[in-house]
Order: sequence, then structure tokens, then C-alpha cells
Amino acid sequence: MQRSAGRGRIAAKLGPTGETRLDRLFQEGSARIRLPKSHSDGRLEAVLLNTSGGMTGGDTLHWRAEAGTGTHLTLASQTAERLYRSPEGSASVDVRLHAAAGATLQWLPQETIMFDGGALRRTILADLSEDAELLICEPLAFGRAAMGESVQGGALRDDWRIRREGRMIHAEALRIDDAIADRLSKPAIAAGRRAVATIVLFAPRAEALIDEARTIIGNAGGASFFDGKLVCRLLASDTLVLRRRLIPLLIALRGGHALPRCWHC
Amino acid sequence: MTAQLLTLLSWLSPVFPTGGFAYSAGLETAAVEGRTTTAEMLENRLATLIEYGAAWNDAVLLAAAHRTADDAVAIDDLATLARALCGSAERLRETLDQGRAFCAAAEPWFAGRPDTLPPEAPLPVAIGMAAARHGLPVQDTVGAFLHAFVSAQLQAAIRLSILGQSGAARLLARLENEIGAVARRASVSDIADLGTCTLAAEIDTLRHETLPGRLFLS
Repeated sequence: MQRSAGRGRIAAKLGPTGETRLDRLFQEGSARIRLPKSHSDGRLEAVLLNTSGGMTGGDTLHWRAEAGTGTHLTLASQTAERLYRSPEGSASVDVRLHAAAGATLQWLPQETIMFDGGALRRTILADLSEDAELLICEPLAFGRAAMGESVQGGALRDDWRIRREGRMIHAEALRIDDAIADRLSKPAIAAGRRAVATIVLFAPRAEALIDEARTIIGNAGGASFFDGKLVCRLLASDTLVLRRRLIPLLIALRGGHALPRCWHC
Repeated sequence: MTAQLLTLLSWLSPVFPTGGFAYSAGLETAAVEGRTTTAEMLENRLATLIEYGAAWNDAVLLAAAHRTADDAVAIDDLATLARALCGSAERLRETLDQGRAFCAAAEPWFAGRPDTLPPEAPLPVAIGMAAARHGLPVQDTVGAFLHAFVSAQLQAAIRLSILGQSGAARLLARLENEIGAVARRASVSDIADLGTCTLAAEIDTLRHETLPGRLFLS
């Protein structure tokens, strides 16, 4: 069977009037990067697209985003990424994020939806300069509750390693496999809920946002500021319910800036 | 009884001044918010935490520290990773304060030896390193560590009126097999086996920061 492979890379630099401009763009295979015209105060928004229409075992995607000195770069994805039944092996997604001095980088893809038998190995590595800012959000759903889908089996492994000036400042290690619906039913895991989001803002200004973040999150999760980062987690019955909290939360963490339009299509 | 077993009993006993009694690892949130209110619910939670939660990660980190106890760079990397994996301010404080207290209290076992323990290692890294340097086997050490975690949770549960003394003892009896099985797996694990899926329990530790009238530090 034909496996899909995609590789996309984008780099941003400062323009003559201090606005963020495209520096380099590279795309091959199933990876596409679009730059929608947006009125975004000299910021750059890019929309990532996987034209393979979903991932299964052996499919690979590599994304690399570099926010040059002083730039403001936001990455979003055109649609949710779908993980279909993988009879053998895992799909693989590798993300590399770099934010140079004074840069702001925001990694805000839409949901990854895992269907029954789906398998994914995802790695997100970020390198930040001393005063760079990173906002990272990954929403994840197990099947679509509204469609009556449940995920009986599958394998997911999601690792994040965030470094500032070479020193690791944050790690996520999510691993769930085998009897996924059964696992999710456990009260300490998800109590039957199927949509989750992890949001982390690495910036000193995050400390001042914690009360607002907690208000938005309400009973659907929690937030903590420590070690120069604001960690937020949300858990909801499905992605629609999740989005009711996630979208206002991300807007608040973006200092009131609306999300890239693809989030609302 | 072997000298090794006695040392493990000492290090992981409730009177060893590590301060474990002060932390609930989010259990207080789950109790106050009505999600862990019976012995049955508590058993489900504890079994889940040691198999799929932060306690599993700690067991893997302990085993890794045991393996690399003589490699200062590897221990520093492990301590950094253990710290980076902490999902909340209180969880970070829980593991760092206990790690520091453990190393201070374990000093008499290392008196006069140059291989002193690290001052700033999270608890599982500190215990793994100390155990290796004292010649204690990894599987027994992980088992004792997980047992101490479960015991501290049960003590917290008694304070939170989830169950009583005899209920806690019954639960401990039921969880022994699970503790042993997880310790066996963790003792042959490596860093690639790190990983949890206890999303709701992670949220409990976050929500603890704003819980009214708290008895515990986490």
C-alpha cells in the first residue's frame, strides 16, 4: 500500500518596518503551507495542510517552523488531522519549533482525531532563545461522540520536549494504547470523556493570565503557573464542548487576538 | 531479614522525614469535588495512578537513576527531565521538597563516603541513586517506593474521611499484587517507557491550587 509522506518548513524574518515576513518556505509530498492574507498587525500566520486526507500506519509528516529574531509567527492547521486504522505500524508526526531572540511562536493546530485502530507517534521538539515566547496547544479526540464512534483499540504516543537556551524546561509524555475506550472510562484517566487539550504558554507574561485562564476553563480542567510557564489542561465529552472553552482560552493567551480563520471554518 | 530490606524499610517508612504525609497528589481535589469518595473509587484511582499515572513515571525515573547512579551527567539529565515532566506547581514542589528532604535524611547511611547524594534531585531520582549506591536491588526499591506512595495516599484518604484504618488495610492487601507487577515492569524499563494518560488526575493536581480549605500541599 502507498504510504504518504509530507515535509513542510517555514521560516519568518523581520521586514524593514518591523513587520514579520516570510523568509523561507518549503513543502513536499502531502505537506502544504498556505499563507492567507490576514490583517494581523504585522504578524505572520501560516496554515498547514496534509493533502493525504488522514494518516495511517507508515505515513509520515514533518513540520518545521522557525520564528526569526523579533518575529511573530502563528501556525494553525486547515482541518482536524484524522488517524485511521493502522493494521501495521504507527503514523508519525515530527514537529520542530525554533524561536529566536524576542520572537513569538504559536503552534495552534486543530484537533487530532483518533479513530478505532488508529496509531500515532508524535514528537514535538522546541528550542527557545532566552526571551522568546512559545504558545503551544494540541487538542486530541478519541472518535466523534456525535457519530456514536468509540475507539476500542489503537496506540498513541505523544512526546514534547521544550528547551530554552538548551535546557529542558518542559516535557509531556502521553501514552495510551490497547483498550482505549476502557482506559478512558477510568475516572482518573478521563471518566468517559473523549476530548482533551494541553495548552502551555512559555512567557513571563503568562503569570498575569492565570486568573482569566481559570475563569474560562471553569470545571472543565485546570491551570498552573510555575517555572516561567502556564500549563492548562482541558477535558470534555467531545470536541464541540472542548472548543467552547479552548477557543476563548487561546484568544486570552494570545492577548485578545482572534484565532486564525481556519479555526472557524 | 536482610540488611538491604531493613534499609528500604527505613528509607520508605512513614517516619522517615521525607514529608510525604503533607501531599495528596490531587486526591484531595478528587475527594472534595466528589469524584473519589469511597474505598472502591480509591482503589480504582490508585491502581490507575501506579499503572498509567505520575507514579508510573516516577517508577521509571527511579529505575533509570538506579542504573546511572555513577554518571553525574546522566543523573543531572534525569533530574531535569523529572522536573520538566511535572504538570503543576504543586506537583513540582511535592517531588523537589521530598527529594531534598530524603537526601538530607539519608545522610547517616552515607556518612564518611565521598559519593554524596544530589542536593536538588526530584524524589524518584534521589531514591534511585541512593539505592544503587547502597547496593539495594532495583526491583525491591521500586516496589518499596510504590508501596510508600500507596500508603501515603491511604493515609491521606483516612484524613479525607474516604475510608477508615481497617478499610485502608483491606485496600493495601488488594493492591499488593498490582504494586508488585508494576515494580517488576518498571525495574526493566528505560526512559522510552515514560508516559502517562491520567488526564483527569493531572487536572486534579492543577485544580488543587484553588481548592478552598486545603489540608494538603498538593
